[in-house]
Amino acid sequence: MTDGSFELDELVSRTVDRRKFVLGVAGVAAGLALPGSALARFSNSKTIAFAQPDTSAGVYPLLLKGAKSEAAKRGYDLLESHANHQLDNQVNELNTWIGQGIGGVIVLPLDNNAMLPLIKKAHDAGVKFLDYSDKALPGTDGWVIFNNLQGAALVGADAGRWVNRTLGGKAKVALLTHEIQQTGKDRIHGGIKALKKVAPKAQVVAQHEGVLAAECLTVTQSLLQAHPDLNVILCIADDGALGAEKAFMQTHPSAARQRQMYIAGWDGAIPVMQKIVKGGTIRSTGALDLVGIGAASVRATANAIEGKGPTRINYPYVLVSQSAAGKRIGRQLIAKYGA
Amino acid sequence: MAQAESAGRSWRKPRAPREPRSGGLRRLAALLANYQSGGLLIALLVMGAIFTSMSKNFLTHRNLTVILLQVSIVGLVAIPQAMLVLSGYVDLSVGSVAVLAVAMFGQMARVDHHSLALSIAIALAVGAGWGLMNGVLISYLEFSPIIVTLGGFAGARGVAETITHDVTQFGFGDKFAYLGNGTILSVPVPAVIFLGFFVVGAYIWYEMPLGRHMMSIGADKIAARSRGVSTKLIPCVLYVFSGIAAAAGGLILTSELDGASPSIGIGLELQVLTAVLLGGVAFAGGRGSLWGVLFGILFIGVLNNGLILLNIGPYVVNLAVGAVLVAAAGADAFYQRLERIPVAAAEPVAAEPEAST
Repeated sequence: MTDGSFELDELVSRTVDRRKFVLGVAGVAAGLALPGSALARFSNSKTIAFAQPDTSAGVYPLLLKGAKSEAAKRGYDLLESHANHQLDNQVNELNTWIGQGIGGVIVLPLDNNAMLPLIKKAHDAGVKFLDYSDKALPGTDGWVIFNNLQGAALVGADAGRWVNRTLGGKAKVALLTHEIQQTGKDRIHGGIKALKKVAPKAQVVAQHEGVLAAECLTVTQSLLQAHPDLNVILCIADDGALGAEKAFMQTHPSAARQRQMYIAGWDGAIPVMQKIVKGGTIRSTGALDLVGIGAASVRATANAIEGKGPTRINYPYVLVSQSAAGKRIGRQLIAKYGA
Repeated sequence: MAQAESAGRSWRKPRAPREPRSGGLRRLAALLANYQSGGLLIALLVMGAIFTSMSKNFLTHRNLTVILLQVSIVGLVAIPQAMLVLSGYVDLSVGSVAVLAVAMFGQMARVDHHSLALSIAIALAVGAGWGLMNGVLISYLEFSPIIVTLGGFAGARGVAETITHDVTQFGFGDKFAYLGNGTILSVPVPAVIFLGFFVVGAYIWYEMPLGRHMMSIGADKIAARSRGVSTKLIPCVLYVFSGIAAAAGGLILTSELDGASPSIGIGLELQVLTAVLLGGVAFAGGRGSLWGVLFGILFIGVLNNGLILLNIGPYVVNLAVGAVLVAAAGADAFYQRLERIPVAAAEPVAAEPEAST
């Protein structure tokens, strides 16, 4: 009997606790549902998600600058990615945005195939889905395209001309790439193809993984031990080109040796363009107008949401190099970026 | 308690086993035990021999200097990390603390135009401050070390991104460049700093009571406390040192690159933990050798360098790294078994009384 009353008390107490818990949850849910709360603010068609997955890349602030400015001009809220270059994170956040019913999303896909089910899901939820990448995904509502093979050809041909002019056509070439990404394959493989077309005697002696500055620093330090007479290093991204250049300068090369080194990247990051314009061993980059691409991404998405204006925009690479024309383009971009 | 005392005995240099009475295998194990503290050194030497036979550029003064330079930053951060793991703790926030310190340095030196000395001091103070926060939350408030430092892993990088807006500050001048690119007696400055830290760390680990205390905390915290060991203060101080080391590592890399890149420190925690665990420090704490950690750091550095010298393709390199790491861990485990054989054989066995049945 005593035991029984104790169980009853405990049961009542638990029920009260559970009731408090349920009331608490309901209160929180009601709070979140109130107009003006954070979630409610995003749940409308005047919101665009800018899904550039690598926010630590040197190019990101410039892309974001253009995107923010265009979003403010068109009266949209802008959401940023937190995918940290991880495909599963990217898929999760796209699902979240689609679930929130935002107006549209423009994404740099980490894997094109993984986007296909999400495109369908977005359309079912009435969310516009665009991609900005090197190729248009099937079924999207628009795109901003930059052709990596075109950018690769620009840099590769410039490197080939330099090899012919400076080294009589013979050169040892190293490639720092990221083969898991299509961008890496297109830039590096396209670049070396263009280089060899102009300077057929150039020889690829090494190929390694490396994207970021710190990675490419250590890889190039070791590379230069294996090939102290290396002449050309093509890096998948400008960040890596900075690391490769530092590794080369750590060998304390003579002025003559420095004249025999050509380092190149892609993206058009400010420090790289400044170094090219100033003159040094980083001699070219395939630059994209990053502020322009950021703005175009939001413009195309807003046009898709509003159903008016172009939703398919092509952005070509331009060559920033140590030629007079290349330096002029570099100075123009640096001025545009406000550096 | 017995566990703590057992661990406490092992802080001293491993006692060489007495000469085994018979058996070639035992004799070999005893010989090796006289010269090093684990099978990892053997694996390191074997790997070095393989790379030497396959590349004429491996065993050169210049390449060995490059390897030393490359392992310096991981090594610097790995020393306090090893002490934390030995004490039964872990710091997963080192990479993010490194980039936070670098972000603060870049902001102060290039944007706010403060002096280099002040900017460096503030960056180190940021590392120390974050470490102190970790230490207080974990040691005194008894939050989970993994959760707190995972929070720091995300949070510190978030603060860095807020400060920098992901813009790389660069161009810090020749004086600062000396930190990452200078040499002292032909040895790179980062390597000199790392080796200096290692000497101090080894002195603490093997010669000071603090080393024994760290090991006893890791083995059995309650027993350690009952013997008067500061079970709260010591881990807290180690977290502060971990934060300072992470900040220093970030600054050295910034100097090498001449750029305070937001990408600094990505993956650093994994490299550091790999070196520490490969070096034989038990993840549960209470057992480990700083020499083993040094061999672990060198092992990874030599492996990465050698694979590049041999131009192992990008598709194979990760497989090769994984296979070699597992093989090294296996060699170490096998060696430890061998090491126990002669010791067991040499111990005098007391005559047991016959069981009364």
